[in-house]
Amino acid sequence: MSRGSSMMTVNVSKEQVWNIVKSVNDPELPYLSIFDLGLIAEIRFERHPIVRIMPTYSGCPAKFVIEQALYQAFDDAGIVDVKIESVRSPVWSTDLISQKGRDLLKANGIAPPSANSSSILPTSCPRCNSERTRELSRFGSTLCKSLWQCDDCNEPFEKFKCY
Amino acid sequence: MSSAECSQNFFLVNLGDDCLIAAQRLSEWCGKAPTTELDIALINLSIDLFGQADEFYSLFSESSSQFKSADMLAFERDASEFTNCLLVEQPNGDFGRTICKTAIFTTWYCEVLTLLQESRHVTISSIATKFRKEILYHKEFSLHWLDCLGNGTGESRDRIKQGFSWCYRFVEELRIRLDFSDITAKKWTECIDRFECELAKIFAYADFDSETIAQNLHGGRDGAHSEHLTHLLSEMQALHRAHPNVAW
Repeated sequence: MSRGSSMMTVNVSKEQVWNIVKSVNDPELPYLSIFDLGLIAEIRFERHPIVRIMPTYSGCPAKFVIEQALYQAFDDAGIVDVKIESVRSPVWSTDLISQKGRDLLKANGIAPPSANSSSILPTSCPRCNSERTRELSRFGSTLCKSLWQCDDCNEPFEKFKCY
Repeated sequence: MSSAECSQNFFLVNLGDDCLIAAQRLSEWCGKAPTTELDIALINLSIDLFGQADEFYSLFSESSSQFKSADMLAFERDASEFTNCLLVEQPNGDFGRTICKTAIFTTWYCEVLTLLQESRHVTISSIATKFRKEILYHKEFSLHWLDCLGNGTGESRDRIKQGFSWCYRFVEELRIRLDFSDITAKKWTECIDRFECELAKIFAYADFDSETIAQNLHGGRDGAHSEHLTHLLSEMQALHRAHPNVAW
């Protein structure tokens, strides 16, 4: 459905809007919702809902994809009078990832971020839980992840970097 | 920040230019770095800096009557209109020189962001906080490699010394105060003092003695660039200039 083709915007409840927002997943972590990733700064309910999102890394190409995905989700629900805004303040942090989000990262083979960004803290292997792991490279396949290896099960794995 | 204030704040373009040109130079390493991990790392640095340039430019363009978008600032200006520091436009040279250049720029930029974090403008302090999170990884990366190469073999140490020798001429320019109401002369001096202190530490990785380097070059902030920038821009802007209003 293209935007603007629908005249269905009537009586949208706050709960509906939140549910739509929560249904949108990150394009690079498709099992994780942008809500659990902590990207939603707020939703304002003025004449129309305004969803304000905090971008992750400045150069992350997912930023535009996420905005498009949100518009698409609202379109699919027949809601066209909605605005998606990217905000500069507050600043997103990995501390905003929910416990559910951290569990989902681990379940999908990505070690969740540790609390301190500047030091290489020991990270348990998301596959075998061994603490005998080491960082191979601080930079990985996406801006938000570093590359690690487990010395017990030998599997390489990614870790979500602190931000 | 009000529109009027923003348009006076040309430092956004200064920093945007620094980030964009540094990013474009780093992107030249794509497919050519010593190892796959380094290739990926350098490109990660590059992408962060492209993103930051975009943000600086966007913020400026929101209140500019001349430049309506980040793309106009990036692709529709000639070399003499760019205000980046001369350091970032210099050719990469070998991996050692790239590490020296990245370490010096990143160390300076990190201190500038620390200063901007104190800005009374929420937008400025927020983006500075955000960018600093990213730049700290860059600093860590370049210092790690300075340590590896500076304390590696005689050859790797020589390469770092040569890298610093090449870059040092452009350090003087980094001391020029950025024009922003929140940056008082006193605060700027303190910022540069912290930078000098950090710089001495990174030079120590290879026992580099800056006393021997006499010539200090500047002019980048006023649009007086080396020939290298023209070549960089002609490649970076080619597509946009060939198809001025093309959209993805």
